[in-house]
Parts: sequence; structure tokens; C-alpha cells
Amino acid sequence: MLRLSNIHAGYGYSEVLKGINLELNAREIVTLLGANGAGKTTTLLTIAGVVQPQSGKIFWNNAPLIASSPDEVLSHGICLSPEGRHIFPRLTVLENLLIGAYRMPSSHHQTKLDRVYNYFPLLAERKNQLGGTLSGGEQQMLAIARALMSEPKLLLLDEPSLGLAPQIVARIFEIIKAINREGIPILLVEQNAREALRIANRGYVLVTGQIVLSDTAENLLASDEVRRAYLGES
Amino acid sequence: MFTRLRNYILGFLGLAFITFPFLWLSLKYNYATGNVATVLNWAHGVKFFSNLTVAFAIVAILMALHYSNKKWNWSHPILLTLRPLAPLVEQPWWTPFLMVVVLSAAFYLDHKSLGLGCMLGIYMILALGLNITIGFTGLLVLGYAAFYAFGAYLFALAQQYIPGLQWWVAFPFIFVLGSALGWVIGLPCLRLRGDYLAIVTLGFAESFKELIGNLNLTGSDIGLSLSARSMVKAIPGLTVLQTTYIIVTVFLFVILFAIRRLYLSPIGRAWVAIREDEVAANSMGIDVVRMKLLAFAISAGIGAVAGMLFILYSSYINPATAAFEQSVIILAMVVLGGLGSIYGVMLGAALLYLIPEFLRDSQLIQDFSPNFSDYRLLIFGAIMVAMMLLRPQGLLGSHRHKHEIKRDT
Ligand SMILES: Nc1ncnc2c1ncn2[C@@H]1O[C@H](COP(=O)(O)OP(=O)(O)O)[C@@H](O)[C@H]1O
Ligand SMILES: [Mg+2]
Repeated sequence: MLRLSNIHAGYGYSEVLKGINLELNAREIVTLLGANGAGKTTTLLTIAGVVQPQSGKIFWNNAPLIASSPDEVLSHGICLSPEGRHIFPRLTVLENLLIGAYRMPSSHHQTKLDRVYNYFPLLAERKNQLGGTLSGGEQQMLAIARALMSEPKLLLLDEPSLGLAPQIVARIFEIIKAINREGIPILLVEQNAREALRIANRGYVLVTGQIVLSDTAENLLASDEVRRAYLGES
Repeated sequence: MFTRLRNYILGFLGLAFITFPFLWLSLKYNYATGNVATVLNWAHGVKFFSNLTVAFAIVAILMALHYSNKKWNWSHPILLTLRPLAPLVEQPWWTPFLMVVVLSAAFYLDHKSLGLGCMLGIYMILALGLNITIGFTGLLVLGYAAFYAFGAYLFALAQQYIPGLQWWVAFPFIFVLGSALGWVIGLPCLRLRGDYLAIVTLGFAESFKELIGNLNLTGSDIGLSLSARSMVKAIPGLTVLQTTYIIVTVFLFVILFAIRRLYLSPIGRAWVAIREDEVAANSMGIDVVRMKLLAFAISAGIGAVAGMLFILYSSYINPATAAFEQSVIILAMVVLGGLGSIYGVMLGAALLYLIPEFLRDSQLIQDFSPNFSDYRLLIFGAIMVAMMLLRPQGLLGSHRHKHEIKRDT
């Protein structure tokens, strides 16, 4: 569905991504692993149209994805839930969700909301509470829920486990898995390699802007290199 | 069905109850001399009554529409033609009452109060317009008075070249051209944020003021006046001032409804999202550039229409309208009332316009210092500083702050 072919991208004159090749098929969860500063976020931002590639091509459903801004990319059905959540703290949960459905006609809002509340019953209870007053885990759920409101055909999640307690991380990963079971492919960027590989079909390992490893999730979990570098085992 | 009918009858009775005192007053008021007559003046009474009947009829229709169908299906072919009226009908139930009370004020206010009422309406429209950029979208625009002056000058100039040009012909063009100017000014500003945007818009306003103050076309520093043919034509039975008041009030209501509706629509949500977090708004599919330009344009268009209303009221315009002081006053109204709060900014406009006006007339103040109004800006400054310290969200802060308070208790 999504294919990155020899993508070079960066900020100004600095090149962060040095030729990324990556592929994601229908119904898959693919995880992108890597240390801090490896370029994971930059990869997602490039797909989402926030960062323009310096060279290389992105293909979406076998056609080149030509878009100069995130809202154009979103109109192709690719939705990014950004690193650090970026929910709207002074808007209510409901308003946050409605902004997620910004491009949907308002007659669809209720069915969308019902579906999202199904994944996150907690958000239904808190729908009139301000986003900024939610706990970290709830805010992350809101960020994912908001992305779901746009009815994405591909979901890009940037470090959903960032700064959350282990039980909450497990909950969120369960929900990600459940969303994927409904047929939405997910590109999951994580530093929490163990959890990510547990729910992913395949994974890529990124080191300073280049893919050094790509394999099925089981093989990566078993590989010595990954165990040493990302799972904290010797 | 029955509850609908009951609501309708209750609404009508309530309306009659509220408007009765005005009816009674107007019976005793002699328009020609301005005296309150001791005997009933039937001629005036009947005239007033016919006016009131029209008002009644309008309100009755509005209320009937309101109650007959809570959720409007505007796709019905007949209703489709009435679509522009949608914001009027979908207001809270008390809106028709308020409209009647405010509109019928034209009949019982004296000359001076009507003048105050006109200017108050114009300032409320300005505050509502500026609130779109500063309050909803979070774009700090400092030179708003330039758009205000633009509208006034545009009408004053146009009626020189098109003799007998009427305001009701001109206002759509003034709105559109004002919006276009806002769009054009907005374009280079979009790369800027916060203080820089404020400085650029301020610079535009200042150069605009210098321009109209020096061009012969715009009457340089003397300004332009409205020819008699383009002034407001009085509604039969009313004075020109009463008519102007009604025009300003109707504009105020329509703009208020339109803005309320915009605020609750996806466009309004997009503006607020941009104010809160531009990056997130963009990744949620909001075209940030277009939405900012739209806010700029609508805000500027409303400012220009307010300018047209001003010249209809004063029939004269000079470059002082575009002065920095004007922009600051409008900004102060928005900040005092509460950034982003529709009713807040109207309250802010009322306070900051009416209080200095009343103070100016007060004997106490006159004795204390005859040119007290020279200190207006100083007092505004003090109020602003106090507000920032005591109540940074403004008097009626937007409902977001209410949520916070509710949760804490
Ligand atoms: N806005 C930016 N401007 C310049 N350099 C940046 C910017 N954002 C990230 N970088 C640099 O790009 C590199 C990769 O960053 P990032 O993609 O955020 O890594 P990761 O998400 O894997 O931690 C880092 O060296 C970082 O310093
Ligand atoms: Mg990152």
C-alpha cells in the first residue's frame, strides 16, 4: 500500500534520512525501531507531508503521493498522530474529536464518535472535560481517537508509549492491535521495541537515517543484534 | 404538536407583556417636541402601533419557525431558498425578545441616547469582527481601525462617483472589498507570528492612515463627507437617527448570528484548533494558511461594514478614524470582555464605550478636570494592566475557562 523508495529528507541543509526504503502492505502493523535521533519521527513527518523529501519517491496504492502539506496527505487517508500527542489542551475531549473529523460531513460525526467511544469508553465519560486535564495515558488515547475520527486508511503513530506507565502502555498497544484487526494498517514508531514487536507483523531498524535491518517481528525479536541494542539484553 | 402550540402562545403573550411598556410610553411621547405628553396622542400611538405590528409579525413568524421544527432540514427545496435565513431561526428562544426590545428602543430613546446607541452598535460590530482574528484564531492584529476607515472611505468615495448611491446597494461590495483587502494584507503576514504579525498590521494601518491623510482624492486631512442623497432615508414616521439606529442594530444582530454560527461550525473549530496548536491542526487536515486568510478576510470585511455604518451615522469621515488609538480601543474591548467570547467582547465594547461617555458628562468629573477625556487612553492602559493581573481571560472569558473552574470545585 505504502512504499518509500530511496527517500532523502531533512531540515534545511542537514540531511537526516539517507535513502530510506520501506514498505507497508494492507492490514499490516509495521514498526520502525531506532535509538533517539535515528530519524524515526522525520520518516513519519516526511510521509505525512510536514517535511518534504529532498529526493526519492513515496508511493501510495502504487501511485506517487504528491502532496505539499499535511492536509493534502490526509485527504489521501493517511493520518499522523504526532509525537508528544499534540492534543488541544483547552478544548474539550469532544471538540478534540470533532476536529479530527474536520473533513467529514457533520452527518457522519455521530457514527464516527460511537465507533471511537467503542475503543475508548473512557473518552465517552470525559467528553466534556478539557483535553489538558486528562492524564498522560488518556491524552494518548485521545490523540489516537482523534486520528481515527478522520477515517484513516493508514495510521501513523509516533511513540504512543512515550512517558507512560507500563500497564497503560499495554492497554494502548492492545487498542492499537484492535484497531488493526478492523483492517486499518499501522506504521508504528517506537523506542519500546519489545512491546512494539509483540504486536507488529514486521519491523525495520533505523540507525542514523538508514535502515540497517528489516525482517518479520518474530525474527527481529529473536535476533541477537536487536536483543542487544534495543531490548536491553546482553 | 400541543407543546409547540403552547410555546407559541406563551411566546406571543410574553412578547406582548415585554413590549407593552414601550407601546404605552410611545403613546405619551411627542416625537415632534420631544415632550412627554400628559394626554394620549392617538396619531402617534396608531403610527407606533402599526410599526409594532410589523415587529410582532416578524417575531411571531420567527418563533413559529423556531418551535415548529427544532432540527431544520434545509435541503427541502422550499427551505433551500431561505437558507441564508438559517442563522436567524436557529438561535436560542429568547433571541426574538431581545431583538424586539433592542429594536423598539428606537422609539423611546431620546436623541442623545440614540446617538450613543448607534456608536455602541458600531463598536460592538468592530469588537465582534476583531475577535475573529485575535480571539478565535489567535492572530494578533493591531491595525484593525484601518479596515474600519477603509469601509467608510470606500462608501464616501463611491457615492462621489455614483451619485445617489444607497447604503443597501453598497454594503455587499464594501464587505467583499474589505475582505479582499484583509486577504491581501494577510498574505505576507502568514509567515509571521505573535508580535511580528502585530507590528506588520500596525505598520499597514499607520501607512494607510498617512495615505488617506495626504491624498487629495480622499480629502487629505480634512476628510470626506456624505452627500445628502446618499444619507439614510428615514423610514416613514421615524426620524433619520431612529432609522440609522435600526439599521445599525439589524446589522449587529445579523453579524452576531452569523459569527455564532461560524464559531460552532467546522470553520470555527478549525480557527480554534489553529489558535491552540498549529502543528496538530495541520496534521488533522486543516489547511492552516487558508483558514488564517479566511479569518483575516471575514474580520476585515466586518470592519469595513462597520466603517460604512459609521459614515451613515456621522455623515463625515476623517483620517483620525484610522488612528492607532482607535485600534487600541477596539483591541481593549476584546481583551476586557474576554478573548474568544462572543458575548464577552460585546460587553467589553459596551463598558469601554459607555463609561467614558458617561464620565464625560458627569459634573463631578468636569469640576475635577475639564478635559478628562484626554486621559482616556491612560485609563484604558490601567484597566488592561489590571485585567492581565486579575482576570487574564477577560470578564466573560470563553467557556473553556468555565470548564476549568467547574472541574476544580
Ligand atoms: N526541526 C528540526 N530541525 C533540524 N533538525 C532536526 C529537527 N527535528 C529533528 N532534527 C534532527 O534530525 C535527527 C532525527 O530526529 P528525529 O527524526 O526526531 O529522530 P527520532 O524520532 O528517531 O528520535 C536528529 O539528529 C535531530 O536533531
Ligand atoms: Mg521521535
